[in-house]
Amino acid sequence: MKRLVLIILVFGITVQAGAAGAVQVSASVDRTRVVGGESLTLTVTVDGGKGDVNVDGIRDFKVVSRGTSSSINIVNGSMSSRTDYAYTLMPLKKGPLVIPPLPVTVGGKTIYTEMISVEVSDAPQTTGAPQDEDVFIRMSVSDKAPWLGEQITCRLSLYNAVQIANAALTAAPEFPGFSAEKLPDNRNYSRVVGGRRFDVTELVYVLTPEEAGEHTLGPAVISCDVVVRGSSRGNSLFDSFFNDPFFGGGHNLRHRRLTADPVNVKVRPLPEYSGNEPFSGLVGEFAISAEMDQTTITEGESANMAVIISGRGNIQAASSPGFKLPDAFKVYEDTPVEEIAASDAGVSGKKRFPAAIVALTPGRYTVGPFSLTYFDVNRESYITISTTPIEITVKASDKKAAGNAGNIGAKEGEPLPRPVRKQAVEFTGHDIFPLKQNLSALDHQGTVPIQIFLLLIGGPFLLYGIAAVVVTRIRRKIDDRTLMCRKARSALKSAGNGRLAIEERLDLLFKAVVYAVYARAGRKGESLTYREARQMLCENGCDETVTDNACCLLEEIEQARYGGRRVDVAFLEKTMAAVGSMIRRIMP
Amino acid sequence: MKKTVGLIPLFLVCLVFIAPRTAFAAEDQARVFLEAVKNYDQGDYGAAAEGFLTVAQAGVVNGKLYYNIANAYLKAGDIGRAVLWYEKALRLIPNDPDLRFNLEYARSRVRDKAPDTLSLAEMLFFWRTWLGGKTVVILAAVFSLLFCLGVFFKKYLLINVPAFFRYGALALFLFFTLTAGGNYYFDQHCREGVVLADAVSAKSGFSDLSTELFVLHAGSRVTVEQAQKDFYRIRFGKDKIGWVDKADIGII
Repeated sequence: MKRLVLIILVFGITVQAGAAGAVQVSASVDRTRVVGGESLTLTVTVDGGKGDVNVDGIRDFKVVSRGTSSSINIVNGSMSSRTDYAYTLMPLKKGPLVIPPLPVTVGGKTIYTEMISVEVSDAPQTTGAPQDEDVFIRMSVSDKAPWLGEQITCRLSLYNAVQIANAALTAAPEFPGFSAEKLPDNRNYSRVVGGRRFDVTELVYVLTPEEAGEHTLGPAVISCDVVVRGSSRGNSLFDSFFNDPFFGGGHNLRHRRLTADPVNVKVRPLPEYSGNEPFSGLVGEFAISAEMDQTTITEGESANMAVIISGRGNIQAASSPGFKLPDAFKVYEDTPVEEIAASDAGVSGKKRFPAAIVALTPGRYTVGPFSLTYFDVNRESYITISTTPIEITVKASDKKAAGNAGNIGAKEGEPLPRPVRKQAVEFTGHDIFPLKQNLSALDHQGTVPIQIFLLLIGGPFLLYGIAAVVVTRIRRKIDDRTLMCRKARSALKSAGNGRLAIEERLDLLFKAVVYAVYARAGRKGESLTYREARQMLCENGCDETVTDNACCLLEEIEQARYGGRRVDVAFLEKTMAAVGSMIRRIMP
Repeated sequence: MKKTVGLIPLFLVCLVFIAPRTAFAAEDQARVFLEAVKNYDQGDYGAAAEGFLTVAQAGVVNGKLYYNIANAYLKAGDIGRAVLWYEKALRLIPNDPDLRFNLEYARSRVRDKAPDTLSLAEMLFFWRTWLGGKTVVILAAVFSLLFCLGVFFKKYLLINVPAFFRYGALALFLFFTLTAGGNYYFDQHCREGVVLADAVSAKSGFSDLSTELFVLHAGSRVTVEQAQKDFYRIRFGKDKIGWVDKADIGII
């Protein structure tokens, strides 16, 4: 319980202290131009607490308090409070009037607001028309005379005291002679300018001068639409009723194109350097330190050390300090590690150069100091800074063989030295591969036209189709021949059937010869004359004797069938034998 | 027939006049090429680039020549044109290790971070840049022939061709044919470009008063969607579309 009370007490004190320590007071009005008879609103803001506002000093206006509003914000664990004191001011006369600095008492301390000027005129303003000073942009740089290489920031700020929409950067500022990096996040905040509170959107560029001399930055153009109250076309009750924002009416967009004036910057060249240490090329504010994970090492063993360069400026350009150690050590440099970030203040961070060292010889040694020479922009001179030297003790190893790290030539019978520490192979330089000087570079390698491509892939299918047709035809021819051969043999076989009539058997023998002739010709058919049979046999390379014999045989069978000659079995058997012999000779 | 025979002397006369001229042009190209190589070796990279470019403009389409042009531009500090010619070379000699190394280096010097998004067609044909366009066409034709032979032998000559051979040939034929088709489609419909100027403002329209939408820097690769008047409508990544001057973009 006591602990809880203590925590609450500490918390309360902390919050109170925090609140009192960062109090800011400001005053703003909603308009700086009013027409006689109109009123305006004055808001006194106390950031970081509450206060007593004394408005007795306001003589030119009648002051009516409109109340107080407070708010508390907790962001990332830090708490902030704000109190607004609102007043309605009614001008007591016309002309240029002032709201004098108002004393605000916070925690016993009196802080004054800034004076605000208000113009009270007779001429009425156009209703809702945006004033030139309602929306504007400004471009500024953190330093108008930087040194060559010194980083500066350029801010492009859009101020709007009225509601705007569709804001866009129409023309980004140009930075000749500088390398520029835009910060990814835009800044948004409120600022009181000339007594009015503006919402500010700010784009920040980090610039690094690359050329000495005078340079003009910008201009920049931002376009946006200003939300204005619509002018009433009539004075009827309905017009004013439907112009109410509740119905989505009563507001128009007026396009504005805002231009920020260019900014002249004079980049100063760095003075001539005449120091002994080499100039690192760094410009800004830097520090250097060295660290080692152990200061006592056994001979042959390794330790890790690092040199760290930190600060603000062109720290990316920092290079290795060059690890010059006594000969008793072997050094293996590792890849540098960067922790660099760009912010409103420029580029800052640190670059760590790690290295592994292997002790070779026992003894006491001093490592460092490592020096860095840079151009200090605050002192406007070259500064050389160094690390604190590090004392290292190397103890003799029990194992003599391990004494010479990296020496692989161990003697017979002695243990081999321990393996060297593996490191990733990194690029040590950057360049491109050379030209291709062979004249084959002049050979034409054009692409294949789509027609040729279609022909190439369709060609095999076309050839396949042609080949398929040819083969089919050939096969068909072969098939006809086979069929006829089969028919001839079948007819001869059937003719041997003794149960059939003589005429039928003769007919079959005749057909057997005819089929044999057709088989020879490779065609299909059922009947032939002697002449046709002779012609077909001659055309298909049949021997003349065989042709004659075949024709004679056909004639003989025909005469037996139709000539009225008596046919006995012996004749039939003899003719069958002749036909069998003939078709074997005719058929292929 | 007589007419054809009569034309032969005319053809020979033409050959006599044309042949030396062609030979001279080839000789001239070689001379300009070697002079450009010499300029490059002497560090005059601008003159070297100009020499190589002259040869390319004479109609020589060659990946090695394009590589040389890109090298000269890179050495001369013109990142935009270097990336453009490396990309052109990549389409002809995609497997050249020197080219891939140099292109990677040139890309590392481009200020704009390349968008990670890929179009559907690019996702479907992600392998299309692994082989040259000509190689893909030849492979498609070879597998077409192998497939047809396999089927023919099996069906008509009754020679036992293993099924895996026929189906494998068919699958590879379809694969390479699709790839080649994809290549032709990309060449016709998906024009890619590279920003040539140091910084280019992509605007919402053609006039100077148009709003600047975003700025691209030399070497950034964009998709050219449309051409109108003297402007290209370009797309960078998924959501950045704008109009830029034609002179600031080089078509790959």
